[in-house]
Amino acid sequence: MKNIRLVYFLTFLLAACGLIEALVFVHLSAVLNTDLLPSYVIFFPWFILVFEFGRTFRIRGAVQPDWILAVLNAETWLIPAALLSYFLFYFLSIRFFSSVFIHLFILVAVSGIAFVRGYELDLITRWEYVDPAPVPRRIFFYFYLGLFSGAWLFALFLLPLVGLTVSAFLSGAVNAAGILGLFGVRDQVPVSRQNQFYLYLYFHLILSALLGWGAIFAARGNFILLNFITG
Amino acid sequence: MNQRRTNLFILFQGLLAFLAIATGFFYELCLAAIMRFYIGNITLWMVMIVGVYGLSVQAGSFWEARFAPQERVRHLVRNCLVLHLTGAVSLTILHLSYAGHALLARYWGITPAIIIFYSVVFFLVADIGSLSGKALAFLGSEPGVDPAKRWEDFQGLLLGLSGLIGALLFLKLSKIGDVWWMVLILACINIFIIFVFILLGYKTVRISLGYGSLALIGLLITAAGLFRFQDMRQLYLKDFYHNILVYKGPADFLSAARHYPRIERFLVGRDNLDLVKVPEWILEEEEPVVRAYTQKFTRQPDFPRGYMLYFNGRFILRSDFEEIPNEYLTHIPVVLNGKVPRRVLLFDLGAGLVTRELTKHPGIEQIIQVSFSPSLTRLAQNHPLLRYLNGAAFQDPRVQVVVGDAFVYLDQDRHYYDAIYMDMPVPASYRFSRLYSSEFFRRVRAHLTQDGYFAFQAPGSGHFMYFDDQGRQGWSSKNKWPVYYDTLQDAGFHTVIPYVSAFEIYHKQAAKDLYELTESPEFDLDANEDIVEILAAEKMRSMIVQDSLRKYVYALQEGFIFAKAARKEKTPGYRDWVGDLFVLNPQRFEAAFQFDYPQRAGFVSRRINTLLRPYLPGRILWDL
Repeated sequence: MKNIRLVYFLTFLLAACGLIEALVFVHLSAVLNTDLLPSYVIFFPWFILVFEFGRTFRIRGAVQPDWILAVLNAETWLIPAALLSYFLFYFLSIRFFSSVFIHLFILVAVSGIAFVRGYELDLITRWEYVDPAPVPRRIFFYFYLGLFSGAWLFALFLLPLVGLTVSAFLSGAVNAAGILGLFGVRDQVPVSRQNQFYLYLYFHLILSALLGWGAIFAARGNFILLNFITG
Repeated sequence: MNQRRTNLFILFQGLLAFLAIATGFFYELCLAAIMRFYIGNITLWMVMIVGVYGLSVQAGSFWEARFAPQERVRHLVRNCLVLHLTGAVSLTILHLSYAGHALLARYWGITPAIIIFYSVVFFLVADIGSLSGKALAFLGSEPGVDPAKRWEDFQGLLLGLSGLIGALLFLKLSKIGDVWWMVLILACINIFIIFVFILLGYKTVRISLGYGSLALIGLLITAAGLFRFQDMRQLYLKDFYHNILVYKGPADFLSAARHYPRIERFLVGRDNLDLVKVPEWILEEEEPVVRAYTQKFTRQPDFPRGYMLYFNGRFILRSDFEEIPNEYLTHIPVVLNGKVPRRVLLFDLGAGLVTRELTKHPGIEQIIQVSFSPSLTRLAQNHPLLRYLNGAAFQDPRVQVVVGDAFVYLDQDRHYYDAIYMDMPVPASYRFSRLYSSEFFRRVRAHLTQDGYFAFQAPGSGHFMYFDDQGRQGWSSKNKWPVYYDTLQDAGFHTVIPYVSAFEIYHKQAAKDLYELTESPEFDLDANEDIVEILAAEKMRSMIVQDSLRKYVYALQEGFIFAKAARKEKTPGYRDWVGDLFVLNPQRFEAAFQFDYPQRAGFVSRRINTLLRPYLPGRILWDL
């Protein structure tokens, strides 16, 4: 992957998707906890903080391309799984008359998304720039451009017109597409464990089908998880 | 010793930059909060502003990194100073541009006015962001620090950390004062720190004393702003409520609105409640129509007139005709259900006006009022005007006040009710949209007895086209009824009956009084001898009277919804269960159901308002 434009594009994409995923959880937290303000006020600096922690986590380490697959895999599963488990925590909160569970869960979910995204950005940039020198500033510009696009897309289009469920599934589908894209250029990717890669691919094909089903179902407006559980 | 001083000075520089970034984010949050006041929907503004902020921070940092470290120290002082000065005046600029947009909208149309207004908003956001970014570029690359020990790659961590401090500070201060105060106090403190920095370090880093003078001027201006804060806030509030919302003409924008009554502002948690007094001359103009449609002022001549209540800049009630929505919301459902409920649950902002109406029913045994805000509930119980308005209903032994969120309350409550009422603000944000969601309605249904009903004020469902020549009103595409209907159907309510506070557009007494009010030299019949002119003037006056009445009636038109889980076949006729109503009568009861609302057997799924897919509020950026 010696194409710098591809690196910029991937940086842009991972930032936009990461922010949308985080915003899905932040919004859920906000609407279920009376006052929207604290969730929205804190999430952005917290997201940046944990993201940067993820990005600088292994800053002096060697590049291991296999990790990219692992991280992408984690991301693909993370969102739908987190969205489902969110409701479990919500009911724990109701049962124990405390919102601690839900706040804790949101904190963990947003932190997880931010950390994985940060880690992924580090992997992508180091793949291109193998030496451990500081990454070029332009990459951060594309990262923040992605954040900006994700934020505006979420506020103006995804939340009011598409809904949170579809947004989460779409974001997961982008990750799944990333895996498929990697499969397309597998000859250029120095993955050592080829068999594991095919295994990943198998899982993601199934997952893509599930995501597609979820997106279509959600688009019909019937896929109201909370209603399924409470109903 | 010198080395120690140098190290301390480097630390001071770092602290200055760190503070600038934290405060920069704080200013951005204040801008988002003030946009909630002007436009509504805090979610939208928070997310969009944060997006622009991140990008502009990076652009500023990218730009500043081109300079040599020695130059950056001087730049740091300049940038921080400009940042805090911009922050201090940002809300004033925003207010002026909002006022300007209202003026432009009159002459150029709404779209160019909004585009210009939003451009100013995002220019301010980007400016503050880029100045914060320039301060960020300084962090981790301070001159005098060993290059091997520099931590430029960790600047993002510092950005997150400082932003988190700014966010926490915002959350803390927003419970103490409103945004104008927060911005001024932070700017004043920061400019003072910069002033001290310049005094200490002008020799070491060769900072021009011109910056010192600028800092001193800035300090004096912000301190003066804090000293005269109450007057300044009054100016903004009067301009907003009297000049912009009740637009009178370009000259009023330029006046300082000093001739308007003082506005009382109460801090309710992190929300603002404004009590606005309508000027006497407007009250005199409205006197005939107000008295025509209600008996309140005939029976209670001392009832306070001309008080309006606003919650975060959104209209809540006006004392002159508050009984209209409250009587329609409270009593018509009792008539529709055919019997008085015994146990009632009420979700209310906390003012207690619906509670007042409910306590008029002697058959109601228990009223549980779930109030949105503890501060507002205290205010409603203690403020003389609000106590008068709610008739001290909270002292009724049947009333039990619970402070909490409606959603959470229903999740935790295990009781059933004969009636559940909801009187919440317009869902102009997702915070209130959730109370009109399918999830919430399902919870309501689960708490109703078999014959229980749910009644609520449904903002936007009473919106129809303006009267045509025959006095009829057509269906408006902006009407929110399909959303409420589909959502209630989805939540399992099989009976959904909409009704509107619709009044007669011709009222004999009001027309007569208004006719007398229209007397002016141009309509002076005695001055004209030409019969044609006399007839023309007469016709003009009649048209003005007719139009005034129609406008008033149109403004009073609000939508309500009565819903039941069970299927209800027939609507009973009017019956006055209370005998002490000011507005409702059999004719108006009939008129409340005169509109044709489309109802379908099934529902269109895309119109269901849910937590995961909020359909309310609709067009959020262009509905100013």
